[in-house]
Amino acid sequence: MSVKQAQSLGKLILLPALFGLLISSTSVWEILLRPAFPHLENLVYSRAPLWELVVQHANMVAVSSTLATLVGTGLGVFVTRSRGREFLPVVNSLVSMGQTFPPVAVLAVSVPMVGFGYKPTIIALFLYGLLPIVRNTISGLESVGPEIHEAAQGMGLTAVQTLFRVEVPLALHVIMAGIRTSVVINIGTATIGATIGAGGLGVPIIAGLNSDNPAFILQGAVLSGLFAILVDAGMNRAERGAVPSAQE
Amino acid sequence: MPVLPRLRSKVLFLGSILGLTVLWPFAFLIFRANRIAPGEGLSLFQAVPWPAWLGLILFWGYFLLRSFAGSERIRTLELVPAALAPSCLLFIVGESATEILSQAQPYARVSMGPGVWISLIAFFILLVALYSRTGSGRGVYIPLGVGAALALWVLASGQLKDLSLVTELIQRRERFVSELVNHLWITGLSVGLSTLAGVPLGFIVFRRAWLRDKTFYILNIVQTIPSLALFGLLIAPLAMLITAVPLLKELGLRGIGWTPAIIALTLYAMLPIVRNTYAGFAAVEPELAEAGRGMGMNRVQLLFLVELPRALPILLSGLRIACVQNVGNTAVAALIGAGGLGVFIFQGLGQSALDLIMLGAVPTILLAVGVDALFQLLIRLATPRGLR
Amino acid sequence: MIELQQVNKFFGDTPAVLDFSLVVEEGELCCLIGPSGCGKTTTLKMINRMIETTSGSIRVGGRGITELKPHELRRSMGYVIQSIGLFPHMTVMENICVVPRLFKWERGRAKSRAMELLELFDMPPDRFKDKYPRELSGGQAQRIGVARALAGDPDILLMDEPFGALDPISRANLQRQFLRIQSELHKTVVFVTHDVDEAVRLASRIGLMQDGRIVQADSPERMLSLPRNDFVERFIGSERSLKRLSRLRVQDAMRAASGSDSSFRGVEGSDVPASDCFSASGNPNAISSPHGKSGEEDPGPVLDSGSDLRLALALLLQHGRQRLPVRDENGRIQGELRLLDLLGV
Ligand SMILES: Nc1ncnc2c1ncn2[C@@H]1O[C@H](COP(=O)(O)OP(=O)(O)O)[C@@H](O)[C@H]1O
Ligand SMILES: [Mg+2]
Repeated sequence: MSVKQAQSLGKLILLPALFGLLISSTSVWEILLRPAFPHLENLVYSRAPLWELVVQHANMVAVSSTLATLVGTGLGVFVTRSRGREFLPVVNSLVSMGQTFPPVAVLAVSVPMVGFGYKPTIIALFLYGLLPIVRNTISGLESVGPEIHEAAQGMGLTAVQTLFRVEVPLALHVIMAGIRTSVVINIGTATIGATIGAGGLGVPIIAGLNSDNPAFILQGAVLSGLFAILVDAGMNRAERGAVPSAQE
Repeated sequence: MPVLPRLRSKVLFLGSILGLTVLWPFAFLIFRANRIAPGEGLSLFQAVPWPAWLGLILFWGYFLLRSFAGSERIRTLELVPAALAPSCLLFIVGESATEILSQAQPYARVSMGPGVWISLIAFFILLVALYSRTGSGRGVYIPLGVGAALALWVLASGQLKDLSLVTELIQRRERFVSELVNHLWITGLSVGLSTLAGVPLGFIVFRRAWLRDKTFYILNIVQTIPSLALFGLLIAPLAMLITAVPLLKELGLRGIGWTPAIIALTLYAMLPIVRNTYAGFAAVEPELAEAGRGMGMNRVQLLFLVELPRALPILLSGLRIACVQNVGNTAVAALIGAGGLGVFIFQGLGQSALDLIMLGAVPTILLAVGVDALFQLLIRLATPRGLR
Repeated sequence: MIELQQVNKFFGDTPAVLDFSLVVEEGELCCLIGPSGCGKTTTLKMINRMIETTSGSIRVGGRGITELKPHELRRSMGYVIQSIGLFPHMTVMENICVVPRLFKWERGRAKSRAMELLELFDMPPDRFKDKYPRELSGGQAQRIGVARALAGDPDILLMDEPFGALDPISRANLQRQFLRIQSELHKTVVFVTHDVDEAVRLASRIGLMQDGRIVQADSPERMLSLPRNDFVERFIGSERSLKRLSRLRVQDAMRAASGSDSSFRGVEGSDVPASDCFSASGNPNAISSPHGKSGEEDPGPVLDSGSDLRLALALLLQHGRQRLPVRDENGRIQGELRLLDLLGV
């Protein structure tokens, strides 16, 4: 077995297994952390089971990213059609402006507008997650050259057929990369959602910071870090599976 | 046979409709009896005197009609109201706030409602739409310049002093300035350190292919980890390290605050900087290096006369990404006690004090946008004409 | 003078150049030709140490090339490549001044040198010096490439398929211009090409390579008339006699006009500038297609004394003429060229 294979096997099995173990059993944390923090009274965050926090986190990201993907790709497709092309400059400048907005600030601003909790987090994650998807959808579709459009037209494909059989397959890996960026950003922003009462894996970190408990902080940090890496790696894999040309 | 008027510009149409939502359903201003009392929305008609709302209706009405009729090209004269409108709106908002507060209890507050924010977005859309349809020529940018100057004047003149955000700012002026400076220091220092390490690393990675995949693999993982998690991961190990080595403590290092913040932010900024340094050098066409070598340049001369000037714009845009990103992540670092504008955000969230949240969030956004604009300018200046 | 003695080059175990010996004399223009992959570029790059030899010796001006540091050696030679490699972030002027800058010439001297070179290449400095490479056509860019290589006034010029990427017309123009400049400057040139016609037109000597070895090194005339073996003969091609014509100039075969000879149609006296007769002035090409005076029959084209005989033959045949008038650089009619005379060359 080569080093590469061993690495990919590690990623495929070891990390998910480790993650599963860490969220299902508190005794693992006891074993790992007790030597480091011998005098700490509460070693494992216990106000909610860790797996529940993972579910909350995953739920926020899944809902917002699914919405962002649907709306974002739709918008990207719309502004690259002849009927919507008029909107391209506006959408482009809104997107590039919006992308400079720090996600934490967007999250914060949504509180005065919508209030605390789950809802503003979803709205902020959705809005912010839109940007990379719209941008990559546009640039992916725009990168399909005029000669390819001409060829498709010449073969008698309708506009819709051209979109789904030619443009989307050619742009797919750029679009998928945008979705992946969006999801990773959303996972990160969702941890901050804990500060506005949205739950998720940021909760132990914030609790640990408030009660001066480094073990809580470490739990939240390790789990949210692992979660992000796992999702990113999974999407990377899915991307390669879906797009033959993305494989070397 | 009567026909429906044909829609000429959908962008203009939608922009105007969005602008008109300020009439209904969105509240224009929000009134609160005190800092943390629940807000009460005031409609446009309640909030501003009739000439102001009439003017706003006429303004959007004109552009609504304009989306159906008139020439395809936008005349420079039409740009004038569009370019001046944002500052006028802000002026009116300030006037109304003063007016409303003069009749209210001492601790009352007035803040901008969704109507104002949406109006500002609508103005932005309107301007982009208009400017994509004007003729060329420098003259067309004069209204925009005047508008920007006017907006700055409105902001600087104290016209908005009775808006709750500004009231909050005035009350906490000293703390605000010190946290802003703190924020700039954290961002600047982390990007600076990252540049010192990242540019040479990017160059090494460009020269040594075997290091490339590994380096990017690691930096990608770092970038994937949520910023809050990365801060959290550093706290415990740092605390232990400092307990073990007291000297570090005397050097001013702590398990919380600046130390983990700077370390994490430096790591965060590495990926864009290393990636773009590599991409910049990789963009140097091989024949340029060959020509340079063939002319008798040594390695250093080749680097400074040919490769670096060619790579610089791409390298700078990596710095731009790193800076903008770190302005935001520095705000998160307030959670681990590093200070910065995030302090107001999280204090505000803790106290449900909306103005305080905005006092942290709005300047953070402005800072990010400003840094971005600054870098765009810098990149333009650093790009030789032959490469544009 | 460049001397290569039993030079070998291996990339790993693969031989690229084998037992290569060649002497390029002072002021000589030596073309290396051969099929793609035969080792021409490798040989050229060994001369300025862009590639190090595996064994053998190379001497330039009597000194071994390893005596100097590589970059010092390279500064003393001009180097021109097919992809040109003009620096996109520098103006034409700055590009030409690179080597003078490396030599730390003072500004004024470098600048006036650049001006001089632009003039030499018929590129008005005022129009071109502040342009950026992407604003130049391929032919203009390559002329700057050659000018840049000449900027430090090197004795030696190494050129690797310099005109290979150009269209035939700019290529022919550049070849002609380069010949003219070479006849003024007398540099020692090693010129790599895979185009036999180019080699025959430019070279004072041709080295033909195959599989890393030199097969025949001779003057173009001898190469054409006495190919050493089948490979040479096949590579040179079947139109050998035509190619030989391209080595000769119209002036070598023309008959000079004597005062009494008025047999040139359309020309009243040999001392009348032809450009006046045919209003063909300003045409930079060798041949002008003049318009006859009203009522007269088409007098046919006028040949330039400096253009090559292959072109002249083509024109004679194309216009169905037995003879055509010839003019000198100043546009004066000098004499005529007869079809029959070409057969005897
Ligand atoms: N850097 C290199 N590494 C390995 N082989 C090379 C290298 N450069 C050239 N070669 C090989 O050496 C031979 C000669 O190449 P080259 O001198 O470029 O040929 P030419 O210029 O005549 O087309 C070719 O077979 C080529 O593949
Ligand atoms: Mg070659």
